Amino acid sequence: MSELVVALGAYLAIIALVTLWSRLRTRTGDPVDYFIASRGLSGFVSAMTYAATTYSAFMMVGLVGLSYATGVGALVFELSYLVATVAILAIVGPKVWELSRRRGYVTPTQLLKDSLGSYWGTALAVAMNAVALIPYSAVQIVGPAAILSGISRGLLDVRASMTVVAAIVILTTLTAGLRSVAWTDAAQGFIMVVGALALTTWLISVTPSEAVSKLGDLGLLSPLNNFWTPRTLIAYTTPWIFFALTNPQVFQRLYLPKDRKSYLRMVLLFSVFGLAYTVMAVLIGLLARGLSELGALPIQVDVRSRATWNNVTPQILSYAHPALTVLTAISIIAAATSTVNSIVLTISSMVSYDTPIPEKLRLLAGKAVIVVITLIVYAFALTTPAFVVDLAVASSSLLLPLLPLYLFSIYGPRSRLSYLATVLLGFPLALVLATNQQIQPPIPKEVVILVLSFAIYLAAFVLEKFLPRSHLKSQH
Amino acid sequence: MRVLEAALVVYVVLALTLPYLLSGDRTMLTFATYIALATVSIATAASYLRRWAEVE
Repeated sequence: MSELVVALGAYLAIIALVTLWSRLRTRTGDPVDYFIASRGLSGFVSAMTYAATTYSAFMMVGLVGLSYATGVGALVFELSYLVATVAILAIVGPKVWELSRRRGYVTPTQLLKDSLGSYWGTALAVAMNAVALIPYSAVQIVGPAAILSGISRGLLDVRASMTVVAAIVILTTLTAGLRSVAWTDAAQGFIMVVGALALTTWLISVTPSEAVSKLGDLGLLSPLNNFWTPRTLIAYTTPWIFFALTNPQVFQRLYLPKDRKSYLRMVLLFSVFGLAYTVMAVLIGLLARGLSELGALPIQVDVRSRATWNNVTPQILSYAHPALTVLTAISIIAAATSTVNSIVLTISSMVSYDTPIPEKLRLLAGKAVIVVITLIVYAFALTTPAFVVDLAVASSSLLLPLLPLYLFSIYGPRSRLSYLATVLLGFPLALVLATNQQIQPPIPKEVVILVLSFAIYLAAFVLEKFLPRSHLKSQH
Repeated sequence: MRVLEAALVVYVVLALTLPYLLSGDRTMLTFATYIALATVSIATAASYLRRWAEVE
């Protein structure tokens, strides 16, 4: 208990100090500085905010449970995401970085509005992002709050834990916008790695070689097994390998490095962070499973029931030293808050810039939206209605129709009709497919959404080409 | 920056030796192979990006 009070106090003090320090470096009254730090971040801070935004509580809760239950295929899935992301950052990212400077973009959706020329299409794209990411953010804080509540032994109930998380999100987002988010992300990223490293080191130190052999006997060291069939692997990886382009909170981070060298440094440091964090999370799950099979770490999780996989991390922590338990729990809170605050700030910037809000009111409106979105996230987290859980699970698939829009905005062909058609048809299609369990197409739903989104865009482009100009007029 | 790329290479070495430290046999070879593959892919992307970054 005393460890928790000390660690939580130290964590909150670090966040508060970093937030206040970043406030001193902010140009107050400038929305570009507030939302993207005037495109002037160093490579180190850009990398840390990219990593802390990307890697959420899923890593130390969801991925640990997935690795525990399904084996090394979880590593293949998560490394596929990392490698694809780095490839996107190397190939598409420089183009996006240059466009943001040349045309003065603040939000990802400004690129769509500018290239595809539809005001209402962009407003719908902003709504798509909000529908996908607000429930995702709510679910993000449920698990960590439950862990914090569990280890506090009555000091903090789940509601109080969620209030702490929501308060951190408001503080780090509202105080100095992107600067306070990015600098606290840097601190939180450090805490995430230290927490994961400590837990991994402890597990390695207590794992005998028989535990690893046991994993092999169970088929958990084989990339394909009963769970990880080629279909499952494709279904899991398809939305995630395009995450860097479809998720606005990470797309916007491509605007942040102050020069090309900083951009390169961002990608390299993010790669090292991602590789280390992924390997540690998967190792934690695998080693815990090996120890559990030997009876050395009696974890009560039914691996056949997917709903129980998220209980693996809390159960591992229940056997660790109290100091290690508290450190890991704080690192999971850090992972959750650093993801949620970035999402909240990015959505607020899109509402400020890409809806009919007068230019003079952008900053004020953005701050109001931050408060409103955080309160919605908080309310959803407290009640977690079924539709919020469904949308959170489906969030990565819901954003897939944005992929052709971003790619065609950058490389062409560009068409306003295609933009509107993809938003109006692609998003409802993704919503129905991703949330309705009765629909089971012969190929993974994620692939269906992706293929149909590209097909809709290209079909509308061809239609626009062949229809008389008087009926439809392209902006390009 | 070359230090960072060297760090990636060191990572490959660590990734390949870690399984042996853990188990003393080759059962974790799959694990290590995927880490090595990912690292090589990342180093390739970094090398590609370096050429762009040097044209300031």
